[in-house]
Amino acid sequence: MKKSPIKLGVILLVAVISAIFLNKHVFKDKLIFSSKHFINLTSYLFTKAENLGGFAGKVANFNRLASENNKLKKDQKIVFDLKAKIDNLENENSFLRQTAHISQKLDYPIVYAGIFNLNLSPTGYNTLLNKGVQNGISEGDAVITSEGILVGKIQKVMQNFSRVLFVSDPEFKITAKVISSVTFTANGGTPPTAVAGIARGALGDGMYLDFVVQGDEIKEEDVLISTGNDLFPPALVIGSVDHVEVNPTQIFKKVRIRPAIKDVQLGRVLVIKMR
Amino acid sequence: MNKWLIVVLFLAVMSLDGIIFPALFGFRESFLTIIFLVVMLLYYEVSLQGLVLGGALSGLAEFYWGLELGALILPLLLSAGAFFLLNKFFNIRSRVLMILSGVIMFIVFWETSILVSKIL
Repeated sequence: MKKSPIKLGVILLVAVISAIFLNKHVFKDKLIFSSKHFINLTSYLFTKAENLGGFAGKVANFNRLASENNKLKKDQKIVFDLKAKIDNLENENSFLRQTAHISQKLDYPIVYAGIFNLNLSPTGYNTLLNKGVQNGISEGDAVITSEGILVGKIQKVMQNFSRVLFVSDPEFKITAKVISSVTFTANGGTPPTAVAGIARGALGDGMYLDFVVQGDEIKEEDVLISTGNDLFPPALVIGSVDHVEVNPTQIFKKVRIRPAIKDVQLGRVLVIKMR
Repeated sequence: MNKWLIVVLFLAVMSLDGIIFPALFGFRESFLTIIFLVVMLLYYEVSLQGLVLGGALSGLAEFYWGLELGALILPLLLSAGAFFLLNKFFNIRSRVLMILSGVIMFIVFWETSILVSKIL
């Protein structure tokens, strides 16, 4: 800049601040780029690129997949056994609800959507969904994959697209509990309760589970699900325990979580309408 | 460099950043777009043309990402301000100093963007 850079800088700054003021108070945040065709095109490209990437990854890991396949065949038997138990419990639960006159659990309406952009910016992850106000999406709705894995929640809704607060975003928080781990209270006689805490996003580190006391039993590869005690539906898969740091001088354990969304495709997702 | 070529490059970087990296390679922590903006400012040595083009591209990114207006433009101007300050004290001419000032501009951009988004 050759001529009076300070003057020019001040002029630009005033122009930008005026534009921000106009956008906030005159246009009411309506200055948003939202071409439906463009969003659909990028959403299509995202899904196709993800499919291609997934296929290439599978080819590259062929040997590992073969051994994983054998392990999965063994695990399938355990899953069948669990499924039978769940069926039995569901029937029992349904019967008990009827006899106790408790209404059946809530069924949330679902909207089918697609992610068309995902990158990191200073404001967090830019995770964009190709559905907006027009499709009945509202702020606070939960976003999950078809496998029931939590992707995040709707942060901001525009006319035909919306921003998702990604699970790894530092602003994201959810109450979570560990399945398969139990902890016993001091008297030992009371029934065991699942280890629970608040999971929060930590960008590249994935997530952290806060408020897990030193006495709680939690180990690597334990699976975390939502408790349903906050604004999220229960039993959504959040991730698995990646690392547990035990420090006797601290009240709480430092638990790092590997979000389950790291290992799944995000091109197609479901939005659970919470309102 | 032709400014239209820069616009095309910017769009390519945005699609690389938001579509190709996360979808094809599973890399979701890319911030290439922000780096591109800072490098472009440096390339124009923070001239009026560079600032106007940078402002327009930041505005485009804001609208596309659904961010508040100013969440990227204001940090861009502030990082340009940081370059002026550095240039005043160190007279940046060599390539090493240019890279160093680019890193400082990037940090200023990133940190002020977090601050601005909280204010907005």
